[in-house]
Amino acid sequence: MSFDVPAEIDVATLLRGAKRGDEQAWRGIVARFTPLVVAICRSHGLSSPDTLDVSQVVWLRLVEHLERIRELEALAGWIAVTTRNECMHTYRSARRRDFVAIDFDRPAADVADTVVDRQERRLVLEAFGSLGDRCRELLSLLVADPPVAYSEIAVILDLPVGSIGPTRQRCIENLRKKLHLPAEPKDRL
Amino acid sequence: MNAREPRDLQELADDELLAVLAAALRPEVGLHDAVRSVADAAFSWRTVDVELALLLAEPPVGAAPAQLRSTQKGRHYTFDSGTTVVDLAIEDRPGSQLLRGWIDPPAQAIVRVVSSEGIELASCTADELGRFRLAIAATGPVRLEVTRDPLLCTEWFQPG
Repeated sequence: MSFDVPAEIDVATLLRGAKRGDEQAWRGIVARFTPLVVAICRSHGLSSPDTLDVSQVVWLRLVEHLERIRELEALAGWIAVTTRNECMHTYRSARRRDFVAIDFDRPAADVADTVVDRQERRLVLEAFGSLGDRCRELLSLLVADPPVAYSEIAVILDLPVGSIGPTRQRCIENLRKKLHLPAEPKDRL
Repeated sequence: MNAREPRDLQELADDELLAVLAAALRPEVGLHDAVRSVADAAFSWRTVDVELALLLAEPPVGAAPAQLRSTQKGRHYTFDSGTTVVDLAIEDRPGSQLLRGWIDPPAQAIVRVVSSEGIELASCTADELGRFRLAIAATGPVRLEVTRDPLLCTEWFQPG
């Protein structure tokens, strides 16, 4: 199974191909927007299983709506809004939003995982979870890997591109204010 | 285990703080691949409704089925009923598709484009050389019906 799509193929071409039933074009769209879907799920504090559930609904709805998406710019916005709505639905259903529980005990294998690293991640997640929705979403998109382009973030958050920098700064300051100095290591660490 | 002392996170530079956040939010290895696999499964559902509709949309009684003999890059089709061949080329136009076809052996004939719901989307008369042009704005599968004796009916194909 290959998800590799040549970088020079633009999303408009992929969109046309997917509408015609081209599976490779569909995979190109999915590869292009998977970081966006995952980043929004993380910003809502969803675990990996919940992220998979949300993404399943998002992709099924996109398949249903492919024919109706005429403008390329609308695609990123459509995916973002649908993902956001499904995250909220999942959150309401589960009645939980525990950012510190985001795979905290199962960190990514490529992340250094010392006691201090885990402690820092825990602290920053606690602070992150207390931010407002827009700051959480913006910061999640900014640290997504691969990164989400500013132009796309502007569409997703309905912000002028020029205001992303100042908003980023404000959100980082808010995050910093909510951080607390590391205390004694907690039991779970 | 770790020689590094805990840092005061409030004192970190913006990029350093974002790096800690990125590590905290980074999904576990394999999550992106799992999300993509879920998308693959979703795409396979795309044609379920259409396939069901096509099963129910039988060709007219007595029509000669013209089966798809070849296709090139999905935009050129050749249908063959055994006695008649229809070659078809599809060009994308803004908001529509242009269908240019040739009937062999050539003859004047009415050519209709029919949707899976049985609706006539367009029709024209092929000239004495068997050539025809039709513009449609279809999003689903269609077939051609050519008024020969017997009526010729192609397989379903996707013009858009």
